[in-house]
Amino acid sequence: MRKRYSFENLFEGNKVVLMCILFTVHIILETIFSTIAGRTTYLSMGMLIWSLVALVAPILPIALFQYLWKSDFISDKDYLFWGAIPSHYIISCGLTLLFTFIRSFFELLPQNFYLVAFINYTAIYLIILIGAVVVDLTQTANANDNLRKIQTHLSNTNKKVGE
Amino acid sequence: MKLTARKDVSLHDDYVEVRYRELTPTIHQIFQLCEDTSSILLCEKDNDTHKVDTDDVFYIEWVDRKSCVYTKDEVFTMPTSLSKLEEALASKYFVRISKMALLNICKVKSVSNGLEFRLTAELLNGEKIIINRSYRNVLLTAIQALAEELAL
Repeated sequence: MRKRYSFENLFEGNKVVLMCILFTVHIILETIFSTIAGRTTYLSMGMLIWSLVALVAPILPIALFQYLWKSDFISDKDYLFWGAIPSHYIISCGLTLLFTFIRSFFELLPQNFYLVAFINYTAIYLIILIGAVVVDLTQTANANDNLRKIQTHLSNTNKKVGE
Repeated sequence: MKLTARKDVSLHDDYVEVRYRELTPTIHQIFQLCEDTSSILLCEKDNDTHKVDTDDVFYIEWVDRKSCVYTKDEVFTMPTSLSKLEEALASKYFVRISKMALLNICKVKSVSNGLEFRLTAELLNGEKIIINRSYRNVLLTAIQALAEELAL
């Protein structure tokens, strides 16, 4: 059966949106806690902008995917290939690191800033991903168990009628 | 009342013969059940009209303003919209798995997790169907409901 993707389907239930929201909240809270702890003396506007970019960044690849798919530029096979790599993660993370790189031209960033950004980003992504996978596997296992019982029941019914 | 049932794969259509001494309400109910045509879909294939039993249908897909009815190894078409078919077949264990398709859950062999949290359903004829994330819970709930209905 031909798979059909729509803009709503790409967004609906997509963990990447949740991930970005949590990431944004995480960055804001981290900035606030740093201020309270005295590590910084003000709320860094740069960090807030950076977190907003992290929120908006995945929208671009999703929209791009949709545009390309509508124009039949990428086939289902290509989509699956990209889907297998968690495209949202790679592209959105790449864009945030690129933004960090551009920022480094205008202000002095800590030496390990890329590493901190990458680790924070990846950690939240992985936690959500693992949680989602565990839930999915449990649901699928239950469904397969029910399907086996249904098929056994139906085949037994057919046998009785046949007799 | 004695019941005799024989499976005959050589029959072209299902055949029911009722022998009775007098027309009782029970016999009348049997007539009504046999005359119920809601389990038959009038489909087209190669400009011919065919009767397709809903029990033989694996899934129905809306393509080019027509409903394509997929059986084990054949494809038929019918002009009825998918929403009307969904209403008509709701009691026949058909569930919507996308904006464009209905699936007979009795024909699902197994389900597995697909890419990007989609669900892949393997049918009894070996065909695999992708179910969008948004319809995933609909299918899983329907499977659960059917299992409970059959009191398994």
